[in-house]
Amino acid sequence: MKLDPRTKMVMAICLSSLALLYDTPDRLLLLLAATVALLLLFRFNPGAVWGYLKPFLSLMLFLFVIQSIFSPGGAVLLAAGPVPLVTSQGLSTGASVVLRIMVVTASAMLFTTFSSRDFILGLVQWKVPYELAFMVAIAIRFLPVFRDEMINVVTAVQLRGVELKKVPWGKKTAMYRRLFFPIVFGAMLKAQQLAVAMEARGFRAYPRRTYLRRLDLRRADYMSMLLFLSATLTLMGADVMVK
Amino acid sequence: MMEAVTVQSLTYQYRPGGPFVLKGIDFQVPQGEFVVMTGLSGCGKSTLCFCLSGAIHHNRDGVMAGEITVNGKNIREMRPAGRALEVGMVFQNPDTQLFSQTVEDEIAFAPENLCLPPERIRERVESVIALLGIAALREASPYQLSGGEKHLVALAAVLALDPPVLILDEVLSQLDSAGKKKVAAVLRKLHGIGKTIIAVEHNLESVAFADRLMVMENGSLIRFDRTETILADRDFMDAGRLLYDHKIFNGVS
Repeated sequence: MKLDPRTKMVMAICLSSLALLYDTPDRLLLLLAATVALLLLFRFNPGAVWGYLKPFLSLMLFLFVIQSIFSPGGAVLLAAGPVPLVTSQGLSTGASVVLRIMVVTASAMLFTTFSSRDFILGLVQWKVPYELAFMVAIAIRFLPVFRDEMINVVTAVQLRGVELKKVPWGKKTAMYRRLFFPIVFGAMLKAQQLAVAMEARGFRAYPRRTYLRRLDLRRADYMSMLLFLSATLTLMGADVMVK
Repeated sequence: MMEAVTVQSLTYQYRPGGPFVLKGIDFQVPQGEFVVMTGLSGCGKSTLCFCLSGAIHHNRDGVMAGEITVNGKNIREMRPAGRALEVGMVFQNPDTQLFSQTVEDEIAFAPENLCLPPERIRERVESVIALLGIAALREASPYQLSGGEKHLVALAAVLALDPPVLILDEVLSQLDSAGKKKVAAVLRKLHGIGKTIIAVEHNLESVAFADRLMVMENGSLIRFDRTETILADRDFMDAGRLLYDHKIFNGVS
């Protein structure tokens, strides 16, 4: 389905808002299913969804365990003598936290179904200042560059004979602290060169700028936005009423 | 013929009281001339390029003294838009000057900043793509191109402003021989249409068609003469002040 990036932004915002509002696993699970279905509708590869979620698995597991232990209430499922360790309420809260992260991450994937160019254009046509939209897009653009730089520095250390896996955690932390400065310095240097290159090409030469392309919202976009906004507001209202 | 670039008593220090990176440089480049700047690493070539493009005065710290005029206008007094229209610079590392999603967007970025109407932006983009022969790269991501292609795109992005003066900082240095030939052919084409070009280059073989050579050493301009005159000067060439093997040029000179 071909929709304007702004429509997809609205969809992502609606799904994330509901995820933040809902606090029971059943509703969050339904929301996750709806989000994944939407991604599939936009021909998003299910394997890629898993790929995006994978780095967060350890964090989700950690949060699940912490929430399960420290959210008392409900039936005691596991206890250490008189001290309840795991309760039904704890499990429910833990599962909710994990599902919430999954919905927010999955809905953020909608942003990857359009280019950063369209992202900037969409925001600018919504009267967001160009500099702000451009800054966000550039930050996203340079994240993989910094990741590669980090990998290069770590590889350089390993090539000097340091077996990182065998280095104790204390020493490893100290080493990463030392590596942090060349990486940050490199990033600052890159940012400076980028700024010079941009100004040499007339960036912010005038208070406004023109665009080669223009995005146009179509009937399907208006309908989709209306559907998502009204559904979100209705569900939010219903949730408030029930509470 | 009017001078495109005039440099008078130019000095530069990275910090007040620090050593001089550029030491009293004077030269003039007439409009339409192709000058190759060369010299050993660390002699101040890139710094001079940054000064000529106005980047040193406007974007970087340090102490710059002396005067630089581009097409009769003092570089210090030019606003960013004015500078962008007078002098274009392609940096040594193309990765820090390419930031758009597609090659076409990269080229359109500058004319968009100049508030040109969309149809004129389209004209500029098409003419630059045709000039450099990069139609096949139009929808490609600039980050996934080869080194030579990245340099071509960086050059295209600057040419979209149609500046009369081009400063090119080692655009050939990272290229293989095929890439060098391709970019050199483009430079020859640009020279042919009357652009004033100042190109930093170590490997003179690819740009032996330059009108004049500018040789720098320790922040000073030690020689500025016709290419064939310098290459024919055996004493100068044998003094080892350049990086390349002059025997390559026996045929050329």
